[in-house]
Amino acid sequence: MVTVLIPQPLRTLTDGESVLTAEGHNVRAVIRDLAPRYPELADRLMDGSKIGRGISLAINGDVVSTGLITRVPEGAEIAIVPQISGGSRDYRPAVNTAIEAVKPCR
Amino acid sequence: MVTAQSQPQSKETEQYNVIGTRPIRHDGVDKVTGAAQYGADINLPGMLAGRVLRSPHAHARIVSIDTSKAEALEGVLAVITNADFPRASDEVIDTGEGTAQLNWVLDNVIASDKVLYKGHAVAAVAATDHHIAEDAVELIEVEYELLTPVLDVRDAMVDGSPLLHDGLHTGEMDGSKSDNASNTASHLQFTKGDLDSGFADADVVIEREFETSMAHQGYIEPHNGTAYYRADGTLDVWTSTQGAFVVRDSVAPLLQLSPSQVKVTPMEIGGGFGGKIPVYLEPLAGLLSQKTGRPVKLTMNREEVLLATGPTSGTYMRVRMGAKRDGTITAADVHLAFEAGAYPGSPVGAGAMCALAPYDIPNQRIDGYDVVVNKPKTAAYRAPGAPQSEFATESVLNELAEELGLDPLEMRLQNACEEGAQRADGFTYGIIGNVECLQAAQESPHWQSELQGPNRGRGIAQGFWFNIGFESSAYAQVNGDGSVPLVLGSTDIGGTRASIAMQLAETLGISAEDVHPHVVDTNSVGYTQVTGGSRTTFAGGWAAYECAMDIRRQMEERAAQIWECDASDVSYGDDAIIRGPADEDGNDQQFTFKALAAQLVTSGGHIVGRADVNKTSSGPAFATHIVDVEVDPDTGKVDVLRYTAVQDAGTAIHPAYVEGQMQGGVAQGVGMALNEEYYYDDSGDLKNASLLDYRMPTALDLPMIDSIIVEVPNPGHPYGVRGVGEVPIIPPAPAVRAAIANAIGVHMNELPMSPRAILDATVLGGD
Repeated sequence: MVTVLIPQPLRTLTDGESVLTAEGHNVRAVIRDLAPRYPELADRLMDGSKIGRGISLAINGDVVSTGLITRVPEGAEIAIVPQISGGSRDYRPAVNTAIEAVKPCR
Repeated sequence: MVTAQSQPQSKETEQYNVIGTRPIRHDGVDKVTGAAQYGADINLPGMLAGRVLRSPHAHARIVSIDTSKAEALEGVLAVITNADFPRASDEVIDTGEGTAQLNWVLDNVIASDKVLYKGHAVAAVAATDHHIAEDAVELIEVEYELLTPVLDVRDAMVDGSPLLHDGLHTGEMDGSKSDNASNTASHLQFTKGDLDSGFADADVVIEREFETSMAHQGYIEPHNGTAYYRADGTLDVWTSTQGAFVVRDSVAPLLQLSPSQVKVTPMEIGGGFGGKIPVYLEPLAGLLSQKTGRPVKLTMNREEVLLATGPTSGTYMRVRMGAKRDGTITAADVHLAFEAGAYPGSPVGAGAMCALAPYDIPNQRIDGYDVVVNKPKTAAYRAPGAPQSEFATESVLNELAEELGLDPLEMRLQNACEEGAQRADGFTYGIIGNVECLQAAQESPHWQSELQGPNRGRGIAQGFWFNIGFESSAYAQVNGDGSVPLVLGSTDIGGTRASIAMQLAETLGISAEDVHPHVVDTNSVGYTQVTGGSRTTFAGGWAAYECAMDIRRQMEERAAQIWECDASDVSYGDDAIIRGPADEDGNDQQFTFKALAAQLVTSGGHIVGRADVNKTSSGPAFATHIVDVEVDPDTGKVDVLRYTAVQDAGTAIHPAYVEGQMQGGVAQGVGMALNEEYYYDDSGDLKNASLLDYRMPTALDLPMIDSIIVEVPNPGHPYGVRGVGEVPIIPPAPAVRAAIANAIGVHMNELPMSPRAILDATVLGGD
């Protein structure tokens, strides 16, 4: 069994729970174990074959750098933290369409 | 090369032969004779000169760009704008000390529909010489529709503020986003305990607001980038960078090339401090070379560096902290709003995680906001985000101690995190040297001395930085004479050729002088992350250790082959003697490293060791600084009289370079504290875009900085290394603030605490 610490902003996805327990030998398995109980949390933590955008996970204080296949030792504590820089998830700048109208005059 | 061993090893490193000594750096001769090749030194046959047209406005829509006159100028071979680049997706790429969306990276390299800060690149030209390129840039006609610039982080957060990006909504950690578009790109929050009850338990509560200005890293070498797109579709890039692989992985997708088509050669680097991680000129040089089929070199001048590359964030911060009469801190509430510059991605996340990290405070809330403004996109700067956030928290802690009549160092000891303490972000500390730093400071001659004289004061502050690990590679070959060339991918900013080579030498049992480190291009070594995050001696050293262990295994096997015995009967000793079973006469068989190296060619060939490590563990760093200042009440000028920096290095591989990092960090921190600021007028025009007016401290502004190295070995590293480069920039500003308050009784709440700001707070009585 492992412990997953839920930061305040994500507790909207866990019915207010701040600490969850789960089973799993790697990050993917832990998230899949949480999914039936907390589907929105699982969606936030896993984006296809990657850890969710803008999110970092730390296992016993070590930041995960090998993605969902990272091994999780029995009894581990997993912390969810934001990536230390980057941007908001759903920003789609209007520039890519606007730029078409701003072709340089040649 | 000669080993300089003017000082004995520390008690902690006496067990080692190489670690803890002070060999002369391997690249020293090239550096001091001027032979070292920097980015601007590249000259190739047929090379063109590039030049960038930059926006004169801080916020404007580009209505049209007419490049026809520039293209018609004799000697001009290409003119490009954003429209000439392939469309960039919103794919997130690794940008070294963080991540960013590819389309933002491109937009920052060269503007698309809007310019978002003065100096934002709008077009670029390649011409047969520099003068023609400059003339051509002036012939490009751009029509702008001017927009109101947003220059202050609080103004930018107000509803109804002019928006930099129409499609930007505030993202929360749970994945939700605001309904309305906003300049606030994201919000994060960390909590611990019960804030209300924590403040209810406090006997004294202090709340303060702080503002800090954008500040530049101050590296002396301007940015540069040279590219040559070859007929076979490959692109060579030469540049001054902290991460050749990050440049490759940024340039390749921007030009829609495979990483295998792009080779990046990192040149010697004239300073970086985080600012040489992003790409600015390299993609422009690449596209100009694609267009012309010739090599193209671009270099910035100083004004361009200050206008258009990434400084650290300006901020608005608010801290409320409560404590009991005995000094126990019961609660802290921290609000951090960081300017990201023109595109999202300030270091507010790291600032939030560091803000209260030295202390075990049971009840905490830390809110962080990443906010876009019409200033250059911020970049990493030595412990990104932490100098600001810890300036705020350390300052309030000092005021609490003052209010309670307690010794600020004792109060820190009373509340200090130790092994097992958990931060609000969820991390639990392993073995750390927080308390050891405070104790060493307490016992230091500086803290034990008495400060006398009018308008003089003493201050103290603590600092924390995570340090990181991640991916590094190392290759090494054993030559027949026992020398070992070591191939690295880490740009050497602060002596890491030496510190990594020393760890290889220690593991092999040979001298540092017998190792010859080389920093090579991205096709010649395995993936290596940036030189940043205080990771290079840690992770690069670990790669060197694994590489050396690979060599040791092969040397044992080779000796066994020569002795015709089983490899399990052979062992590698700490003294580089490979020992085998007794021979027929009953004598021990042994090889020195060099003796076996001499037999490699005739016994099967050379031995090559290699390692690629991806270390997720790290060794957190703590520092305690003490400073004495004197304030001139008539001018507001602050003189630093005495400075002592104490820091846990884990194990100091090369103590002279650790001391150098500590002293350099202090110099930059004092600069942020007293002088350095980006000074904008209301139109968003940077008024001090030169090193004459952007005032960094010189040797004349600082006393000798005493450094005390504490060594609490990091159990997560074979030699106990913690990173040392970043944490020393954190304590100077709050320590100087406390010293000024101690001197003249005024608590400054803005950075820099310049003569103008001090006079404003004293003579003029604030605003």
